[in-house]
Amino acid sequence: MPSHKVAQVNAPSASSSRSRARVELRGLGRSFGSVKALDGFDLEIGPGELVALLGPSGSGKTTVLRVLAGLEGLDKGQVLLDGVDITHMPAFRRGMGMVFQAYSLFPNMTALGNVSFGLKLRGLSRSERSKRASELLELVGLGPEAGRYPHQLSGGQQQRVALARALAIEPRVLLLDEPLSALDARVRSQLRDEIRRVQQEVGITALFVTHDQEEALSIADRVGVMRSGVLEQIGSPSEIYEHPETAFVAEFVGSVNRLPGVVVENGKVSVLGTLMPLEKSVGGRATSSAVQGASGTAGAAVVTGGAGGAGGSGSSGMTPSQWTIGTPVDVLVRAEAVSVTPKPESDHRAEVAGGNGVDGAEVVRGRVSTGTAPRARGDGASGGGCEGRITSRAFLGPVLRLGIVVNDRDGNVRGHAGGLAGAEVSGSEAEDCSASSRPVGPGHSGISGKEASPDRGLEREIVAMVPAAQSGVMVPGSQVSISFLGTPLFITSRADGPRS
Amino acid sequence: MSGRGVARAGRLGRAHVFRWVSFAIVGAYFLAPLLASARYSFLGSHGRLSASAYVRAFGTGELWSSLGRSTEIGVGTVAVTLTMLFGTSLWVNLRAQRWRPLVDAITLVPLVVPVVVVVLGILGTLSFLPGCILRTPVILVLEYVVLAMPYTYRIIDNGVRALDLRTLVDAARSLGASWRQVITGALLPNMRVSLMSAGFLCFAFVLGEYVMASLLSFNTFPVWLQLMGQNHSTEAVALSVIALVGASLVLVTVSFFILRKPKGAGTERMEHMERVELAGERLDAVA
Repeated sequence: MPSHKVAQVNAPSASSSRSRARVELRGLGRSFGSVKALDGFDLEIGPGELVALLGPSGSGKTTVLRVLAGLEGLDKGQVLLDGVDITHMPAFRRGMGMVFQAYSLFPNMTALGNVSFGLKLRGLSRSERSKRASELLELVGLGPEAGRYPHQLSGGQQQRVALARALAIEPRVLLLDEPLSALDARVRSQLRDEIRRVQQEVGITALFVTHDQEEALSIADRVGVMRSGVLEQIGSPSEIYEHPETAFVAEFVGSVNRLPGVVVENGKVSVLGTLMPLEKSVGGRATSSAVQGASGTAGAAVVTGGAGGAGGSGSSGMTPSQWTIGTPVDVLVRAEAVSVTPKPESDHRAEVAGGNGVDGAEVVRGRVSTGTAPRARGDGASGGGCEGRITSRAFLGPVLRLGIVVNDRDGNVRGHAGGLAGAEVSGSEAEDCSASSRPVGPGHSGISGKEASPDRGLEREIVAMVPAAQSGVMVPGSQVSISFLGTPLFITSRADGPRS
Repeated sequence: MSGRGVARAGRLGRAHVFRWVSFAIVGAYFLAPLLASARYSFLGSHGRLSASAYVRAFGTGELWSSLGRSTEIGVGTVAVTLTMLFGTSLWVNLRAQRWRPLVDAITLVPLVVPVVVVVLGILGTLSFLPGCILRTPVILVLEYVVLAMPYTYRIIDNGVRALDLRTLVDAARSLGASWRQVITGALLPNMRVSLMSAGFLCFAFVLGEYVMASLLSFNTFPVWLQLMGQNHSTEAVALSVIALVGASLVLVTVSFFILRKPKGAGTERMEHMERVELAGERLDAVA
């Protein structure tokens, strides 16, 4: 009788076919009251693959995991495991190992006891249980701690035991529900690599849910970005980062700068003095790649109308084809695609003014103007630019970030735009550059209409980091130029709703 | 010893003294009536020291039959209480959190409504039951479950809420446990203290409950004791003394053997703290 059960238990390092299961989720729909947690969700996970589901809280990613585990019911849709429909199979028969966020170990059992719990349920003898549990604890690096109780273990150790416990039953799929969220940063990165190592060693199909993009990008084979119960995009980490299909994905994964621009001429957008052609997109997908081209070249841009902002609600109703000259737009571009270089003579003149040191880096402030005289909006002439300040921080290395910080006259920060590590990103200001004052139009969320009134004279500040070698050249008064390497990710009409 | 060390020892010493004084006062409050009763039971109304009251009390057959009946009822009450209330608490905390205020209110009703009203109300509600239940102590069990509910439910519910219920249940289920295995393997072992406390509270309640048992004319231990006391006061007092002493012994035994913490739970940390404290004191002493 016990023989067939013993046969189920293999050495941990042997990748049995059992663990290389294929998962298909089709058209999942689930509502909690009036809230739609899942709304037509589709996902396929290949054998032995680690897929990370990334998204903000409330995006439904945990619901997907729980539905797959059988801990949550479904309103509609199907769950298939190796082609078999398990939608109505109860949780305890699905054979899936799950690692929870915290406090999931049984407090009344030692680490060894916890790991053997699943084996006990399957009728293994005491010696077999003990042997297998010890092996698994060794696999996660906790061999000597086998006799400890959960309260005697640190958070990281507890999660390792939880991982061992989930693997003990030789599950077909490994499910991880934000397993690192409750741990401190140092432990988090260690354990993240451990999990990946173990997953690859055992060769098990895994679904990893997290809201931390760094986690997702660093360990997953594929990353799926979720928003409001729907999968916005799925692809390899580099695909997601370099070719986001929507503005939400672009802004959620990595930092994105929203630079204000304005439509000038037919089919051209002026942003920070650079002219970029507007190209119609094909079905909303990226039609060009981010190329490290010659600075100053403007490549094709993905144009989206409507709700292009992250969580943008409501739209002006204008489609790209309806954008007339003078329509304010947001250009979304990755920080590393913008270059700030010292250039004594250029069309886009930036003056560097002032500076202070920040932790071994230099902060250099400057003002960017487009070179031509600022024109009132709606003039229809080219070069409708605007002014802003430039702040550069020097780092050792070619890291480049660009963002816009909006300050009022007293130097208080009123809002930010774009991405700067450590800065908050909330929205961009509509530009309305005139010679007499530097007013800023109604802002997006984070800056209410009355704060961003023209009378306050808010200025835009462009923050850029440049390599240390260059920072020495960028002393107050020197000129710098801003150019774009490669193409922006999206161009959206700014008349659309606020960025959430 | 340095001045600091002396002051510290003084503070500790004062704390110790205070502790023992309070203990003595409270102890006296509880022990004095017991000692007085014991004294009376030995001296009797004649004033001569003898254990005859004890002999006579234990001699009567009715003592054992009434005690037995009370024990049966007690065990039955504990069984029904623990099963029903644990199940309810699990259900409320897992599936029906919206119902929690209502359930809490219901469990507190017996506290607010007078005992007699509760008894008669239950009798009336359960009047459909056949005589084999109504005329036997089973009805008492049902009554007691309801009457003890405010206390027992609170204890059990607190114990359930102290667990990370959702996560433990999900973890056990995903590992392949059926609901029975979830409860016996993952939940009950962590509910030991609560269930034991609720159980003992229940049992003590039953052993001491007089009003209802006598109303319904059941000859339980308290009823018989009261009857005894009317004619044979010394014997009754002797029995009361025994009951009290017995209950205390049981409680001490239980808390020592069954309720002690599992190996390693907290003790390592405590030892570490003690070592730090001792080291501090020793340093003070040396300095």
